[in-house]
Amino acid sequence: MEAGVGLPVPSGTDGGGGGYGGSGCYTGGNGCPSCGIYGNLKLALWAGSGGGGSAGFFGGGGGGGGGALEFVASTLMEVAGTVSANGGPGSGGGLSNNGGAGSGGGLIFAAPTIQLDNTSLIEANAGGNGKCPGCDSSHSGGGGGGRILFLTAPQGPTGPGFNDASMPYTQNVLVNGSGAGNGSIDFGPFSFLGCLHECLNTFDPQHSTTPAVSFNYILQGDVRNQIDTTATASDPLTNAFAYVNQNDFNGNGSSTVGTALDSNGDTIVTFTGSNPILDSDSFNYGSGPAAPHFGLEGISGAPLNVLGQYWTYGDNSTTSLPNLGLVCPQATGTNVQYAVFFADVAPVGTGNTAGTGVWAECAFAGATPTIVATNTTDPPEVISNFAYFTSGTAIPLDSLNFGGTPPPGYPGSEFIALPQYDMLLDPGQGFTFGATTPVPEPSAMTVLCAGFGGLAACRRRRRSTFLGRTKRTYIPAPNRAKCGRHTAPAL
Amino acid sequence: MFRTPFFISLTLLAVLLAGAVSAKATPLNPAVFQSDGVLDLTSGNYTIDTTGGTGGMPVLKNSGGQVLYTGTNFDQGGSFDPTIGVLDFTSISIGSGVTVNVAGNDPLALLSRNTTVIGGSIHSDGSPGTNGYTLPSGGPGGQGVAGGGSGGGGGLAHPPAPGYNSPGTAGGGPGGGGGGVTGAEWH
Repeated sequence: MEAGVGLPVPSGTDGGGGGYGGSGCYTGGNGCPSCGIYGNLKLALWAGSGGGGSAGFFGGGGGGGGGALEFVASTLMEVAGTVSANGGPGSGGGLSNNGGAGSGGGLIFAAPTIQLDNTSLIEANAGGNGKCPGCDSSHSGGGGGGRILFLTAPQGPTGPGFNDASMPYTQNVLVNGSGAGNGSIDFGPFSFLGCLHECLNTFDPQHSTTPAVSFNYILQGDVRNQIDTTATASDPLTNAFAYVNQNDFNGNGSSTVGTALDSNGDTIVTFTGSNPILDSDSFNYGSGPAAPHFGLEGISGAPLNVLGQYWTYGDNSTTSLPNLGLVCPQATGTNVQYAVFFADVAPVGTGNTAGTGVWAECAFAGATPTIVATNTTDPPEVISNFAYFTSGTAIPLDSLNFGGTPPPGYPGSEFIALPQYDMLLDPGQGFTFGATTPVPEPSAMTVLCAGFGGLAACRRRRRSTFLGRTKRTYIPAPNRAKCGRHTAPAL
Repeated sequence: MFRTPFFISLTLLAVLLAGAVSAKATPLNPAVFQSDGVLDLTSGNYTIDTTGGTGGMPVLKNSGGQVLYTGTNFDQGGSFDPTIGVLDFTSISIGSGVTVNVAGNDPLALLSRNTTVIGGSIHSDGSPGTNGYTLPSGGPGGQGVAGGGSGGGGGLAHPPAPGYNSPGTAGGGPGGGGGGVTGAEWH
């Protein structure tokens, strides 16, 4: 907490009220509807502000601001009792002049399911003041209401204590100002670090004139329950099949996204549609011709670690695409910070001229984040524009934008370029950022393979055993494991 | 079909994402912090002082002042309320007969790796301002808790000289109310 500059009171004896979610005010201050409003609980857990003291003599003190509380439950949260972060009333009695009221504070409730009962009372109200709270000439020093944020399921809290998220000002959830501005009640999806909204983006050009019937991500582990397949399927920004079928077939086309486990326990996410993507199809996401774009909408925020991605075509052939696996340990303990890493990845020797950008976010403690980058695909890859930046708060990857955090190489970018990590990586090779010498390091299994003279054989076996398709180089999971699939822990 | 070079892909990616909000926080993840085990309070009064432990760490105390749990601090950055006191548990149950009052200067996060049930009361309310006539100086502002700004103090009850106007002080916090400007003169 720090001392504030205070909402100016132009004249008069009484102190002004504190603001936060709603404006504070002062005697005769009706013309100041937004004074003292600040903060956003989606950005930071902030508390309320104090009211001003009245002028002397016999000056009375202002009320203290309400506090800031954050409640997080990984499964269910039930509030049947009272949680309050109310502002304190200003003074005002006897000979004393009137201090301003403190504003309401900030309350965050975050859980996949939040239930409020009839007995629930959640309030971040402003304090009253000792005399006639309000803002006009005959009242003084009203405080603003605080802020309440629910991060939970899309429909908001459940239970009899909260019936309608479109009418949040119920008797159970209150952010009242004391004659001044009411505060705010906001909602957002529940998520920890990782996949919150669109959390994974790739632009993946077709590499065949044959119609593409599906696009597939390979994600580490069983994360089927972490992906919002419904939202992903219908959004033309996350599913190029939706883009084609919604735009080119008068609304008669359809698109789907499905998930399944492969034999290695990893998750295959398959995008498809009632009509395939043709080589002649064009895509424009607002800035001119583009490659088809795919992304994933997350549910609970579990990080999604991409091991590979590939097209499948109408002739049963496949094309694997470049990918740089970015895996970092989830830091524990105190003073955790966050780092976003980025890299451009381009394949070598495949005839594929287009690459992709990949990125990941890590929680770390200490001076420098650590991340293991590995070429998880079969062809060698050229890594460029490797960069990172850090933040005191988690940053969903969809915050990377020109207006907020431009990618590396663009004006205003916060990314710190690390050109020493721009290098050629063979399959299975990688490097660890945070290590002193950024030399490509083959994985242990790759070394083992090479040591037995079996690397080439392994690679031949990979190509020959994927459903009998040999057009390109998708690596079936069992053979990835044999030939150097990295096994870094899940985020 | 355009075969877009990868650097153009990057451009398109950025353009596609343009207009999204800038950095925003997500809830603190219980798995990131050290768990203190199960919190099961069935009756009585408790205090969580967000800065009351060694090194300013948050502590949960019973009515006798005994420290039952000690948490950690999390730096959320910024100039206002930069530090959050964090208490992390396997599960949290606060029974209907329990009252928890929050004290201290920092915001508080109560994290549960499973369920949280709040049947009792948890208060982090600012304190009232104090009247000036009861004191030799102006009445002090009410204390803010859990990161809340404190109220500004009232003007002097005993000004130093006749004709003296003593303004009040502003409340703490980014939206702190201003102090009163024109006091009654002392003659």
